Amino acid sequence: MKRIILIKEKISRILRNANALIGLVLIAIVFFFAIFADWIAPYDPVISYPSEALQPPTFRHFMGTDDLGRDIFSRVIYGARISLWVSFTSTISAAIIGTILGVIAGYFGKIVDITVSRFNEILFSIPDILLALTIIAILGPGTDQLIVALAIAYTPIFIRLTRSIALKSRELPYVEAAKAIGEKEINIILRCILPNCVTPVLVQGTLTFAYAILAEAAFSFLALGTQPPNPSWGRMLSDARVFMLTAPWAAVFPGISIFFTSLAFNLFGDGLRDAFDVRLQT
Amino acid sequence: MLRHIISTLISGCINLFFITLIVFSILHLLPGDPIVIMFGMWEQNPQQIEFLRHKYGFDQPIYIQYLNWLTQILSGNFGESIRYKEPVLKLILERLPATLWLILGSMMISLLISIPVGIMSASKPHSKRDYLGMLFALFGISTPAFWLGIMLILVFSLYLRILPAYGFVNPLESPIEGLKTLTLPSITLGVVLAGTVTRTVRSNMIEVLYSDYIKFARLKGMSERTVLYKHALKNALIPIITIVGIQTGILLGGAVVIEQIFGWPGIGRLILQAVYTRDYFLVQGTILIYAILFFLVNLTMDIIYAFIDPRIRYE
Amino acid sequence: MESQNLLEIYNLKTYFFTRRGVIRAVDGVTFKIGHHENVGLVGESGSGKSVTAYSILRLIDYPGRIIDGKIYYKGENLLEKSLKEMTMIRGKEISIVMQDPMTALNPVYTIGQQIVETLIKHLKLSKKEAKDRAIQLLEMVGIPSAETRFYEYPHKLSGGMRQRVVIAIALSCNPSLLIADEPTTNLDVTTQAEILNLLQELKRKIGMSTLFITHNFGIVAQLCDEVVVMYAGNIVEQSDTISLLSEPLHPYTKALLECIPKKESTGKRLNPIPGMPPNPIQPPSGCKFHPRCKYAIKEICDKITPQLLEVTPGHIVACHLYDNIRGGEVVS
Repeated sequence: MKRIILIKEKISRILRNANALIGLVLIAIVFFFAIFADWIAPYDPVISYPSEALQPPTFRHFMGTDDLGRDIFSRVIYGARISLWVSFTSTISAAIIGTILGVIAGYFGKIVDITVSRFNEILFSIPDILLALTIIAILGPGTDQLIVALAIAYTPIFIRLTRSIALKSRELPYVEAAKAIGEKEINIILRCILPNCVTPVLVQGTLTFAYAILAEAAFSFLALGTQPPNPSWGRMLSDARVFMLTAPWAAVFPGISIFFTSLAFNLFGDGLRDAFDVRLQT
Repeated sequence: MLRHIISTLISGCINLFFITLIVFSILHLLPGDPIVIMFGMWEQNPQQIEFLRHKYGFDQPIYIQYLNWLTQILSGNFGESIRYKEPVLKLILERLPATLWLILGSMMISLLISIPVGIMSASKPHSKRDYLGMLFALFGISTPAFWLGIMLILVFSLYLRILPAYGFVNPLESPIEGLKTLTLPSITLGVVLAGTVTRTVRSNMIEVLYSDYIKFARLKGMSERTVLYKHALKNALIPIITIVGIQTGILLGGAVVIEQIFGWPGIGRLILQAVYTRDYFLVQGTILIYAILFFLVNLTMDIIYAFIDPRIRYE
Repeated sequence: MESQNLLEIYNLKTYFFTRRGVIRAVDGVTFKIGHHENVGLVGESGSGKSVTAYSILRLIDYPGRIIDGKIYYKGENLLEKSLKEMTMIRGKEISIVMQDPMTALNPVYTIGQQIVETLIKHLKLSKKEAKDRAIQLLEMVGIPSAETRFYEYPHKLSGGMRQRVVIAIALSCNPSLLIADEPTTNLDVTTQAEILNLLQELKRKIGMSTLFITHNFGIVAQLCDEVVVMYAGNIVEQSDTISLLSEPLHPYTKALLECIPKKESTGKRLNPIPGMPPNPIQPPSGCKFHPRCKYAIKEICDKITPQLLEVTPGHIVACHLYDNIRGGEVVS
């Protein structure tokens, strides 16, 4: 019962924050397009209409067409699905695995902690794009492979975050009390430590999501992510480079979409962070 | 301080050792037969494949392979690129200057933007100029660098024709041409990076400006100028050293894509070619070099930091 | 114009304009500090005592602003001076010793450098003269091996030592008024006693006026001649120390004094003041203390703000128990 009140209070705090609100609206727009793509998109994103190639934005084609005559607007909408899907799965996976590892390391300490921390430090010493690149080198290009690569690349930051939370939570009086009573360790972790992780992981997750959007686009741009003819924003950009001079709109719109989506999640994440910040409360 | 530096060094070396392990195992994590994967494009003959397997020592136990590889690395032999048929190290060293220039240029632009904007934002938090600064930072963080690069090429190279879109000229050899080629790529990476760094500068400055010792300096009757430039700046500058370290990491990753766009003959592009052509010896070598580069930069930053911060220096 | 008093504050109002509302940290405060006089400023956290002190030197950060009042120092209104003139007064005429010694000193400069800087600016000493004087000051505040300590960085010193350095800096240019903002709150008990003794000794030696901000009546008893009690931004009682401690008039003062555990009260319960500190943005109507006051008179204390009245010579209180508002009529 108390938990529901706490959650309600948190939600109202989020809604009162301007950044979070605007971000949420923008995210909703993107999701809307992604989910209802089948109904909204005027054309099929994959079929080419050579006769309509390289048309500038008109009423019939809001964002113009590309060199194969495909409607860019439709491709952008469907591209949202791929972007969101890749970012979502990789971020969630990283968050879950990272939290589990981080909490275990922070809570149990000693050898487990040293192992996980050392392992994490090493992962941190390789720039994340490089790490993902390495994994793609092993697994080969493709959407699923990209998800795995990004998930691995983003796990370290969650490990670090949750580990420090677990370390701090371990010292809290109610945890010591629970231990003294003889409460089972798994229960302590679930009831006392994990709840403290929820908000920070949520904030970090949103920001990582924004980052993943950019990463997915970059990898698809490099032909290491989503393969044609699937419409990924990054891929669309790399295709558009060839005929950029004659049809700049083909490069502008996918880029704006990437920017828009990333911005939305960054805004929301910032807003969340401010809304949850204990220090900002009088 | 010496103790601090030594412990950092040791810790770093241990990490580096583990990185070599990871890099080495890339080849062996590949699904399927490594030899077939690497050479399958050129060789189908099973006898040839066996020959190659023996030649590259893939028929030996794993730990022997690793030790051989490690000793080779330590003596400077990073293997030979399958595609280019040249030593990996040579290929890397040829391309290192280009990437280093790119990193230098981008970092300079990033600092040139983020330090003033960050200080401006911090001087009056929650004011209009603060929101403007933070809006800029937000845009920087959300912009895909490669798209910005493409847009800049569109405007400055294709439409206006004032800056080149392709290629690299070493500024040491030919300053003007070199700077011209360096401009667009550096701006691309620099602006995007500035987004992140501005926020860090701002929060560091705020922490300093609202600290007790700044208040005390004012209490003593020091002029605003003394307070800002003597007391605040030195404290705020120290974390900026760490910022350079972080920037390098981000830049090394971003360089991969940007070098591709601008036809920049650097290590990033080399890694990509290696991945595209499944040239795994090259992949191994380049990733290792990247990691070592990153490690060296961070180590240098740590040491500089130890010198500057009196709390560590006089430990 | 030579004035009788060193510092005279009239109706000082310092408000903080936050996003959530206006905080009236100091809401019309008036009192004086005479030459060589030692005044204590007492109140709980949030009563506005620190803000008052920093207002004197006009060191109020955004979103705070001094919006009304006059502060006369040696006859001149500080609120009308330019910022440049203020920098000549801070640290030279009026000094503040801050609450937390651990963070008051700049970590990247030696303590010697931080003392010398003040001396050079205010007294225009040469480097050598400043250094000698600095070492003298360090010895005066009881720091052993002052010569070597001069070259050390703050992180090498303990809290007590740092507070001594801060005091040394505060006194370095012979100020006429020393303001100490809870100078011992963040120190352990033994060090507290040492610092208080040091302050007492310095007071005796140098003879400057002091303003002690504290919530501890023990300090007041030891070091102050006059006491001003603040609550929620207003002065509620003011008197000489002895009278205040022996015959407190305002219910808040009485409650504060009752809070102090005494030797005889072992075994008895502690008496905290009931209720919550007032909401700074929406303080209670009428007398701000009325929700927590056991003497509160309905319809009067919750509706009408009491004014400061001199009940006995030299003893001022703002409380309806002592004015003539009874039965809803104000009889002066």
